Amino acid sequence: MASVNTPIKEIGETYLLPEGTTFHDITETVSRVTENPAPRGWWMLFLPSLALLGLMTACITYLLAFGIGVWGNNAPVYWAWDITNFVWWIGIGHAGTLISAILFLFRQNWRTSINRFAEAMTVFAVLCAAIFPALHTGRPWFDYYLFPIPNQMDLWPNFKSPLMWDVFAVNTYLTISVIFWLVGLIPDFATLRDRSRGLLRKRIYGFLALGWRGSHRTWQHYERAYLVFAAISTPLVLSVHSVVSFDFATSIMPGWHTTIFPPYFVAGAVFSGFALVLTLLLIVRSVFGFQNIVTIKHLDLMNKFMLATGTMVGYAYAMEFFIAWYSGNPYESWVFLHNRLGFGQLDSYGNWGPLYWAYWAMVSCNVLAPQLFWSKKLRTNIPVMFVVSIIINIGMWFERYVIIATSLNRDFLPSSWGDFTATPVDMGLYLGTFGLFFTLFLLFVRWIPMFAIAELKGVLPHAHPHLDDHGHDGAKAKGELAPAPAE
Amino acid sequence: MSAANSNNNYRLSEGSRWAGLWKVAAGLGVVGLGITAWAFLADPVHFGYSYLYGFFAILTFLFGALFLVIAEHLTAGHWGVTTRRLAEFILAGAPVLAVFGAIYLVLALTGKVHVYDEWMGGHHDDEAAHAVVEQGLFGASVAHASSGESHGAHGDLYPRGHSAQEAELHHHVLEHKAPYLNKSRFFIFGLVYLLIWVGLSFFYYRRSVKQDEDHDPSHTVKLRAFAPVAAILFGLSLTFAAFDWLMSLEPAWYSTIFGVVIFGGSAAAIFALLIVWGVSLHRSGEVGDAINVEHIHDLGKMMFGFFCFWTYVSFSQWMLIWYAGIPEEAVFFHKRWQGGWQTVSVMMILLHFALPFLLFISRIFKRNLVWARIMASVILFIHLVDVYWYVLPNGSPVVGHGMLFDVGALLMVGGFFFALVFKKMNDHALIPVGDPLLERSLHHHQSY
Repeated sequence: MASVNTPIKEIGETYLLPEGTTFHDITETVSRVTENPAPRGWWMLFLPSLALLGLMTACITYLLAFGIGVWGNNAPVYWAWDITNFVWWIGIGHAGTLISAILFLFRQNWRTSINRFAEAMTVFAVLCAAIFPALHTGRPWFDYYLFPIPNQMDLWPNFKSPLMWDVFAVNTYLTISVIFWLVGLIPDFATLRDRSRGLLRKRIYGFLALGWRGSHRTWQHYERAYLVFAAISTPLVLSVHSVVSFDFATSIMPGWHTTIFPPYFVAGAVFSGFALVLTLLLIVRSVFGFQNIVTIKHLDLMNKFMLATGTMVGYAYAMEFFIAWYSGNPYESWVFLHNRLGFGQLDSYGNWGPLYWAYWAMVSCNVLAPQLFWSKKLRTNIPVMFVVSIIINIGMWFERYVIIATSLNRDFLPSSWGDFTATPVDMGLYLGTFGLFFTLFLLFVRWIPMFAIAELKGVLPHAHPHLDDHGHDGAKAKGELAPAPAE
Repeated sequence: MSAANSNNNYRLSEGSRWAGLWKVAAGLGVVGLGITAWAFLADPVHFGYSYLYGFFAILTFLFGALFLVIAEHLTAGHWGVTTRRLAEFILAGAPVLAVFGAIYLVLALTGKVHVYDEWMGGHHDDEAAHAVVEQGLFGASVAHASSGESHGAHGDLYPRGHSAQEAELHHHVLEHKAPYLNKSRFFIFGLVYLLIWVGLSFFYYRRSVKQDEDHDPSHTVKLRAFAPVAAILFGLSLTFAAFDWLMSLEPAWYSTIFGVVIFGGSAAAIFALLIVWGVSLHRSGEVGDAINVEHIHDLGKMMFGFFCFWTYVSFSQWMLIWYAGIPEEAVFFHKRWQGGWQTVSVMMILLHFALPFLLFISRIFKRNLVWARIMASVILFIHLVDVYWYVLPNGSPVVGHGMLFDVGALLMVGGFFFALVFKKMNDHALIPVGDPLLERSLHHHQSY
């Protein structure tokens, strides 16, 4: 006899993980990666990443020595790749928070196969993002002025500035994401500790496990803490990218000032975050052989998420366009129709907006490409989803670039028009942040359980206390007795 | 568990007070019809605002119900199966709204509704429309919509301009919008929206009650398969209906987030309605334990989430418009910060967010059925005020003017709508007894 949680075949339900997966299988599969020597593939990725990290360091040193004039930023495009990259990296982080917090609150138990991974990416992506505005201040050694620290000069940050709000939003986000990630890791660190052979390894993982003993009481505290962090992180998913969008939307720049920006940026952030999680997950899955933990079903669900968020982003584009026309504001419609879409009149030099191709690249990548995922066949095809996920990442970078550059490069006054050209330092720094990201990411993959062992066990059918219930009379139990955190 | 449900058919029991509830609603509807007829004769200008208010306020419940049902099929959720039937009863009321909506469109077409006089009243030549775009960068100035005190009287096409220059600019903007803001498009699009909503409602309602009889899981498969398309149709029709019917009350005003704001309020309202209704059903013993504290707790979380979402999008709209201070955008909030509307605006912040946030955040509050029903009633009340706040400042520059008519229209549409909804409670089981996920929902319990 089946319990109520047995998958119903008639409506297409299946078990999340392959049938017959045991607790031990999960522990083995995940822990093994941190215990065995690194495969050659890992080194092949790690060394180039280190090289890129070196490139980043070189670019930053050069920039500190000569000032931010080494970037291509100039009148009127004062914000260019730096802010584009900042928004892009911050956006990448959002999938992690969404998966770990919101999907947790919605009891989407398939998240257990991807949450750890995505949370780690959040932390690393925010670190990469923070580099850009910190450097863009011009004299980063005065960046502590951004914090409201009482000082003898009575000098305070401008609290009315969205850039100031960014400082608070991003720092809060980073703090909570790190804590949430580490709290989730405690039981898994304990697992690694208990499996350790060497003393040093045992000590390090023992330290990180904070004295975890796995008693019912510790589990109860742990789950409560996890829930509280999920609840605190949920508004952060919305707040961070909303505040980032305020950087633009509070201004009166045509193309920037529009009320849909906050939710539109959040949807776009989740969209791009999912895309990068998917890209990396597919690589890791095949390199380390995690096909039984990240199944096609998980990938299918992630692709559905990308289709949904991509469509939301498409909705926001459509609203922007419609209202740009509907508003009757000539500057607004000019930016959208001429400078972005490339329609309508030519400018006084007889040109289209120079970046209209970037706009179309963005629409093709972000709105059209994910439409492939309407087909289940394509949604479950690994090469297709790998390519689409990369296309989306490119498209989302273009989105931020289009927003920033096409509003700035054609100012109200044609006499102050000017175009942006990226310098080698711009490119080197952007590439270099990939070095930072992948270095941290590969270290994470190597030393930290990259799937939430305890949570994965919690979603196996035999973790459910009513697995063997033949009747349902006892089903209204007061609480779960599962040996793992609630699904 | 009541005696009626000992056989688990989840039908209303004999002599249940729910069985006759539709008569009460219909009675209220008749009273509202009387008041609205009076409004039509006594104050034909205000009548339009009242009618729009009554219609749109009730329409948001249909929006909410469509969202809930579609979202549940889209996400394959099981916790809400038992309470989904209540939302499906709401869907069953769609024809009433279609009738009231069609009447509104015809009244607008024949010039009996004066709320859109600014752009419907005049002759807007479709060809002249692109003037602003064509003139382009150097010629045109940004238009101002000034904050005139009186609403449009007949024949006075552009009554809002303080000066001749402002009136000219206003005229210019309306000319530009004429390809969108014109009678025939308004009418045709309106009919399309109504068709979409009735179609979606019937699709989801009919299949679900059919499943009660045949217990065929293939219905669930079909409903799920169509859910993504339904979600897109629903989202676009809601957005443009909000633009056509509410945003165009202030034709110079625009906000890209407006559709999302209307959606957020509707979603909060449906969960509030389901809590009030579900708790009452639970209390009356009609559904036994099929709707219990676990379901109400989850509905409470969703209501909490969505009134916070409403706050988030409403705040975004307000903050960005306030910060930029562009006249044709700020006029919307300007109008809601004079003539006593300040009080209503502050009330929205307090009752649609601050108080429920503090008094409903705890698990203990959400699991207390008495308290949950009180908080849900507050949200329902403030949601009706929310729609009022969108519609009426144009019709009643001083708050409260013609309020009897507004309440009358709400009673009329709401009365007839809920009469049909409650009538359906007599015809079908109170929970979807044929749903393959029913068992899981009946045994739903949560550790968090």
